[in-house]
Amino acid sequence: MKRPQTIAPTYVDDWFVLVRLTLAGGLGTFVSSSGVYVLGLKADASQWQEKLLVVCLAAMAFAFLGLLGIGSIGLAFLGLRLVSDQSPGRFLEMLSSFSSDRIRCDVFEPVVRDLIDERLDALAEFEATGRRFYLWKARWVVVRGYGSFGNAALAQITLSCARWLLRLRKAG
Amino acid sequence: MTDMQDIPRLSKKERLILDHLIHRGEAYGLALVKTSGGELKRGTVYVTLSRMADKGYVESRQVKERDENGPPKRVFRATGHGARVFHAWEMAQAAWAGELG
Repeated sequence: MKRPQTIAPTYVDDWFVLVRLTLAGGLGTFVSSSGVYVLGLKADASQWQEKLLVVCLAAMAFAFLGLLGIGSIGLAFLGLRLVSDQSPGRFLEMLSSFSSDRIRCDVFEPVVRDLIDERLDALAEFEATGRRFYLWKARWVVVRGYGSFGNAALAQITLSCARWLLRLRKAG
Repeated sequence: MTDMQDIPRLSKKERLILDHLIHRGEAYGLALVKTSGGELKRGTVYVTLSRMADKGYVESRQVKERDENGPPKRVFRATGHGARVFHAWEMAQAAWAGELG
């Protein structure tokens, strides 16, 4: 079965964008509320000034998330881009760039590759059969892929910490 | 006398992976997960494989398919050292089982 090489915008499902928007909204509100708290404006700013600041900081958080490439949340919210044709693996690829080259190549990139492969397989099945089950499967693959990435990161951090402690113990 | 720390050790997951790679040839991480019957997880299999590569039990190479977006695939295979360690472990297990039986 031929895989689609790019994810067509039609595959960016409304509900999935909605979930991302909700998550981004929660994150944006958290960030902006934290900003208000850190800046210490609660004491002497009037209520509307405080609200305005929250809105501005939330918009900045959305824009920042959009620039990071998390699907279509940030820029889409600002009305600049409504759908995204980017693979969800792109964000994970970017996250993995924070690790060392060796760990990125050996651990994180294969996890992202598996996510992309399984998603493309599910989308190819959807394209061939037209059954929505495969669309749901593609969504599930993305959710599971993010979970796998989190597990890999957690396991790698634990291992690195254990090695570091061992080295410290040997040196001491 | 050999220092106990010099003796190669194999965890259950490492044995499972080496068993697959020695008897069925090179494989992708996802294939290892799918054939393990739930013993290996998608997230942690690559951490285990990376650790095994550090120990010299497995080696890997990148496979970039034509017209493919995203990072390349990685295929793993057992090294000679990995195979020796696995066979030594099998012999030790057989001897231990014989002694008990």
